[in-house]
Parts: sequence; structure tokens; C-alpha cells
Amino acid sequence: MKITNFSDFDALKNRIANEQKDEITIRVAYATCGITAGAKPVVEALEKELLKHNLCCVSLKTTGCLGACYAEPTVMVTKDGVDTLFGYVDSVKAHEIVKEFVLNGKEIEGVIK
Amino acid sequence: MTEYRIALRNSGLIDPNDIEDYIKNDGYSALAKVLKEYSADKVIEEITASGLRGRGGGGFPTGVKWKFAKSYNDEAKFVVCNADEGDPGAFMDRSILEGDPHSIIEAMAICGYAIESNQGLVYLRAEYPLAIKRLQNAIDDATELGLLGDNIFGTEFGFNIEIKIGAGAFVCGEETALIHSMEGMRGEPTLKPPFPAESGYWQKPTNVNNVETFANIAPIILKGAAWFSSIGTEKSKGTKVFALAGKVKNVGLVEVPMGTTLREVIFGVGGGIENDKEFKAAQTGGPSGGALSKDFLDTPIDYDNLIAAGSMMGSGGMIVMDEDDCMVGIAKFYLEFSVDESCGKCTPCRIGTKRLHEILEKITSGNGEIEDLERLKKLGQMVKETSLCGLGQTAPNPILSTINSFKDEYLAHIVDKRCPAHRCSDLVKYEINPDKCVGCTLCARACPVNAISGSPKKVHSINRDLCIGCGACDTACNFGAVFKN
Repeated sequence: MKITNFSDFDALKNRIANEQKDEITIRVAYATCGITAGAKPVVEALEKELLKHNLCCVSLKTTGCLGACYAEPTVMVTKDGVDTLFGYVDSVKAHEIVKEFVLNGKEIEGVIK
Repeated sequence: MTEYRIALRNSGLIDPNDIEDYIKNDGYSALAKVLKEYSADKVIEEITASGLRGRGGGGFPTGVKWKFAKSYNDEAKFVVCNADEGDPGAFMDRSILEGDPHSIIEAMAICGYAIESNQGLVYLRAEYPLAIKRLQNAIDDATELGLLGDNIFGTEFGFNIEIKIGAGAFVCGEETALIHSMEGMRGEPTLKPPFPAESGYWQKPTNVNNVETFANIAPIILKGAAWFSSIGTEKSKGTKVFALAGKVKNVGLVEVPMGTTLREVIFGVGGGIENDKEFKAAQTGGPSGGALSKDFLDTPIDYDNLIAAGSMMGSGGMIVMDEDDCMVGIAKFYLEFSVDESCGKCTPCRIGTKRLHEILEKITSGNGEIEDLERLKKLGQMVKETSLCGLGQTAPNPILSTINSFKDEYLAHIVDKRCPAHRCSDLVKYEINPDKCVGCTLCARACPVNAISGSPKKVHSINRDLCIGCGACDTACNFGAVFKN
């Protein structure tokens, strides 16, 4: 699609705004710093765990830097509009985040904000 | 004390490779608003009224810069984004480019519309491969969607962006050197005027802004100049991103309103000093800035207050130092950087920084004379006043500010031949605490220069004249009996 006038743009904005929203969003800070700190295996672990439980209403995003460099890799879970930020995440923790926090709604350790 | 995110509004929240995620968060709405409702002059008026100043270091009012660029008529004009982030410890530009590349594209297009230019260039350093990849991807996506290219939104206005990869020289952050580097010439500055607004890239009118400056543009257009100018201090509006590094608990990027104090940044957002040691100083502005001692902890941070304190905003690096850091050593570290990065074109910078560094070297190796302090000040002032570009004009700042705030440390090095922080290896000697020494002889056997004497099961001692300060005895001792003095 190519936007050729203002109404095209408004239509695109409307379409995006009305897209069905996932109930839960998981964001992994995936800038140079995050990747260096080990964000890649974390993303892979999250993908694997999400696939295992066949979770359809959860979206996984790789984003830029969130600024919490001291605790990289970081994973932010947004559930019911509430953000929970996990720091020092590794692949073991990533599995736990999906299984315990996202799926079972349990409070787990590792929250930094 | 909380953060206030404008430049970093999307970073860490959106997927930088997904243009729709950016559009969902009001992306390209500012460009649409400008092309639909604003004249070029109105855009410049709005940016001027917002009070936005250049975030790259100088703090020049952005609206005024755009106005200059618009006032020169030419068939070709250029919008340049300065992404040659070179200050040691600063990485906010990389973060913005990696986390929210479309915000820069949108702002450059808005600037193009305002100054009547159709071509944008991003000078991005080669050391940032992921930023290059994500920005290029974003440019391609925006072009495919029709948000870059000819007749954007069906209007007469067209704009394209090209990435120019810099080979990595600190001086290329200076706008004239940056332009020469883009032209394929040596990255050396030239005298201003003429300013790039009049004669820049290929002698055409050129407007150069920093990444973080551009990141503020879209929110100003969408929320209005009055909103932006309500944040910050009288002469410094909006927010500033700091790259908090060094001996602070929560290192990272923080964006706070201008006028926030150093204390709020370091002890609030930053969580305080690591291992609960004592705060000694914060270096702002990298090698161009100065060290702010604890006397400045409650000074509101803005462009003018930092200049008055002998430092500068710079690009926003903030390196925190504690009681274990030697201020003379820190000044020497930054001077070494300036000596390396001086392009060599003008004499004061090329030779001046070298001589300043030699004097510091002399002081930290224990050969300093009391007259050296005056020499540093006099030469430093001279280099500041006579250098061609910003690099040399600011290079002596780390020395001058540390002499000002930490004169006692210089005197300790020069007069007592001591380094109070035990960092300068030539001035650090080891001693043995007789109460803790059990006479195990491990240290004596570890010493490479046989400076330790004592018989088994008797207290050992170190001959200061022979000691080279290597610390092997300290590593060998199991009883914590060896200490620096």
C-alpha cells in the first residue's frame, strides 16, 4: 500500500487503531546493549515457551533500549495495562516468566520496576 | 523524582522494525499536520517558540538555526542529522536510532519542509552497525509507504534521506568537519562564518541538528510550543537525556526535565553511589566538559548553569565518580582522548593539548612542581581562546574545572607526592600493617623487586624506595595486612 493523500493516512491510522489488541505484550529490550548482555537467547526461550503453551493472545516484541542498562537483559510484560519490568533475565528466567507470571499469574522474583 | 520521556518516548516500547507500531503511537502525524496545516514559516515559529536548543552540545536555539537555513535561497539545500556520537560514555543517540528510527526520519522531513530542502543526510558512525541497519530499514519502509519520496501525502513536498557512514573521528561531530567528511574530504573543521546554513554540504545551505534534537520535533508539533516550553527552566526548555555511567547503582539512560538537580539524577533515578561510597564528582559533557564537585549537587542542570560551573551539557554523558577516583587522573584521561582526537589542523589544539597532557603526566608520575598549576591554567586558557573549533575550545575544561574544585588533590600529587585516591601507580606505595601480619613470607616471595624484608613468623616491612607499586604483595596476602598508602 502507498499513501498518496491525507485520507489514505487517516485510513491507515484507523485500521491500525482498530486492530485487535493482544491482551498481553512481552517486550525484550533488543538494542546493541541488550543483545550484548544476552537478549538473544532470552527471545528464543520466550518464543519457545509461548509456542509450547500455544498462547495466541500474547505478542512478543523486540524493541530498542529501555534505558535500564544496569539490569540488562530486561523483559517488560504488559498485562491488563500494567507494566512489570524484569531485569537480569536469562533463558531460565524467560521460561519462568511465561509459565508462572504470564500463564499462572503468579508473582515471581526478578522485578526491578 | 521521576523521568519525563519526550526524546525517548518510544524507545523500548515499540518495535523499531515495524512502521505501523510507530504510526500507532502518533508516528508521522506531526508530518501530516505540518504538511496539511502549517506554512514553512509557521513550523519555524513553532520550533522557535518552544525554546528547543541543540542537544548535541552547543545549545544553539534550533528554531533560529532553521530560520537561518531557510533564509538562504538555493535550488539544493540539505538537512543533516549529526549521529556521530563520540563522547566517551554517551549513547543516547544510538539508543534513539536503534529504538525509534522513524522519529528521526519524520523530524528530518519536517525540517526539510521548514527550510525548503528535499534531501536529508544522516551522518552515522560505522561503530553503530545495528543503528545503521535499523535506520536504513526504517527509511526503506517509509519510502515504500510513501512517507518519504516525492509528493508526500499528495502535496508538492518531497523528501529523501541517505545515510552517510562516518569512519569514526571525534572531531567529525563538529558540523563543519562533519560536512567535509561527508564530501569525502578529511574530517577537519573550517572557520565559521560562513556557517553551514549559508555554505555547507557542497557549499549549499545546510542545516545540521543532533539526533536528540530531532527526536523532540514531532512532540513539539503535535502538543504545541507552549506545552514544550512549560517544561524545564527559563532558558533551557524541555528535557535532556543523560547517559548515567560510572560509580552509580543504576547505570543507564535517563530523561529528566531541564533544571533537575545532579542530586536528583544521581541519587534519585540513579539509585545512589555503588557500594554506598562517597560521591566525589560527576563529569558532564565528556572530554569537553568539566567535573562537578559535590558543591554543585543541588544546582539545577541546564545549559547556562553548567557553563557557569565550568562544565557544559555536551551530548549528555554523565560519569559519576566516587572517593576512589583520582581527579588528576581523570583530567589526564580526558586530555589523552583530546590529544588522540585532535585533528591537528590548528596549532593551539594540536600542540597545546599535547603539552597540557605532558604536564599532567609529570604531575601524576611524581615529578610535578608547584608552578605547573599556573602553567596548566595559563596554557589551558590559551588553548580555549585560540583553537579553531569546539574540540580545542573545550578540551582544557576537564583540567580547569578539576583545578578549580579539587586543588587539594593536585597539591597532594605535587607537594606530598601522594595520590589520595591511590590510583596513580607511580605514587602508590604499599605498606604492611604490623597488627595483621603473621610473617607467612608469602608477600616477600611474591615481590618481583625484593622490596619486602622480614623473617618467618615476624612482621614484614616494605622498602618504599624499592617498591614499584605493582600490588603483587596485596594479592598474595591472605590476612589483609597489605594496604596502599
